[in-house]
Amino acid sequence: MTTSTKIEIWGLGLCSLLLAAAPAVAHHSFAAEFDIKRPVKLRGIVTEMEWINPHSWIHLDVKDANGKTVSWKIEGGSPNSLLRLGFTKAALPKGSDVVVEGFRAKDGTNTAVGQFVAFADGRKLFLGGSAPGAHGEGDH
Amino acid sequence: MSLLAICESIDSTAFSTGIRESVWLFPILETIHLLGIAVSAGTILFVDLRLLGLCMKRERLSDVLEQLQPWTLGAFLAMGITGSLLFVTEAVRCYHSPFFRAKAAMLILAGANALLFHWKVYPGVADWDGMLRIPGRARLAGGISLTLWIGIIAMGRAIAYGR
Amino acid sequence: MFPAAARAFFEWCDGAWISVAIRESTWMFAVIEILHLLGLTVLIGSVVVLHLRLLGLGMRKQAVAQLADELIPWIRGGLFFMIVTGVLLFLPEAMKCFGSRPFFFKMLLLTAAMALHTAVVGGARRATDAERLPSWSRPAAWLSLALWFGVGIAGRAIGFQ
Repeated sequence: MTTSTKIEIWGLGLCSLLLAAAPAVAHHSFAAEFDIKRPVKLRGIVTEMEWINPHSWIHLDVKDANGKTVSWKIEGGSPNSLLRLGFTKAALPKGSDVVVEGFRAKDGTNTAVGQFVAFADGRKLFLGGSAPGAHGEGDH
Repeated sequence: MSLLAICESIDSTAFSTGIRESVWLFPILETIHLLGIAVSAGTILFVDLRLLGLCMKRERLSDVLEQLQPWTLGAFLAMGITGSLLFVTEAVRCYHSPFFRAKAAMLILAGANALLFHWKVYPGVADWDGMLRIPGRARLAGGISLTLWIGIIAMGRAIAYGR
Repeated sequence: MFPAAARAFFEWCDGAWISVAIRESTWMFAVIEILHLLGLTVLIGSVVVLHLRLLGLGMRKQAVAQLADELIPWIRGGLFFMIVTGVLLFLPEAMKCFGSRPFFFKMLLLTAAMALHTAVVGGARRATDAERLPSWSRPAAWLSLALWFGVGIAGRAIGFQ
């Protein structure tokens, strides 16, 4: 058996091993976790901003259609990504009244990946994460 | 103190927070950890391939193993340091992650396999050093090592999923 | 950083049936990504072992040409595997890649790495028993190693963008 044949056999063996494990493996590309067909526009009050690696998280209290307050979790880019988009730690203090646009998670929870945060005075801060348009580049 | 409680206290330290909220340190640690895979597992790969008779067939096993060893060990040290620092940023999440648990278990098994090999099998290397088809136990150690490291790399990547 | 003229190509890639399939799958992207990482280990692992010899830093008991002969199938196989899995990762995220600086640099570095690799490996294979590698061999090997690691660094940066 030639070396290249052996390499192919091992390669196929590995692929089968991994594919067998596939159902157990969750997902982490924008498209697999978030739904581009379910954009969200959330108006709410910031309760917390987790400025952490590998993804930042904005916690938002949003009033739903019935007037009930619902807690949302919005994924953003890393501190490194945020800073390079001009988004500093002080930019989103608790209590800020903002609108966040993004895409809803496929698992149906109140989670979304954010494109940007918009303030009442018209300012926009892009979140620099995995969502299309999160770097201010316009339509996907 | 339970393992979970230890992880919780790790997560609450200023050290953990510092890395978790860092702008450059975290990306650098992750990058070193990623490239370190290539050097650490990459050099072990060729020792395992020699044990299995699939590469470096004209070299003696001892030549391959002993010449790559300093690089393998150096790279593993870097992996251990960067890995620990990355763990410290999200100890509780790792505790709960089935992928992290699988990775940790496989790392322990890979370590045990390596130790057993060096303690019980390798001392007799002179007898089979030049052979292409190396006898049973050594070949088995190579196969186990290869399989475990594939699993460790896969599980390591999977930890990031489902955040 | 890609020329605007290329946009149509990236859009076409983004909309291809295979791109859509991978994008809508819950597990395909993840599995392909793991395979890409395993391929990286094989490719960079074999590149590192060969370069250790070329730089005189390791594996010195073996002749350069002999080592090159044995490692080249693995470097080639690894590279082929990386390109296949890489394309499958690119397709569902083509538009993201179009706008991605790290991806642009990764492609640039990859092209340079592959071009230099051909020269480096060619030189290694031709190394005579006297082991007098040409004077450009060592700096070329350092550059080659740097380029390959650069590809890896840029690749990781794509995900973190």
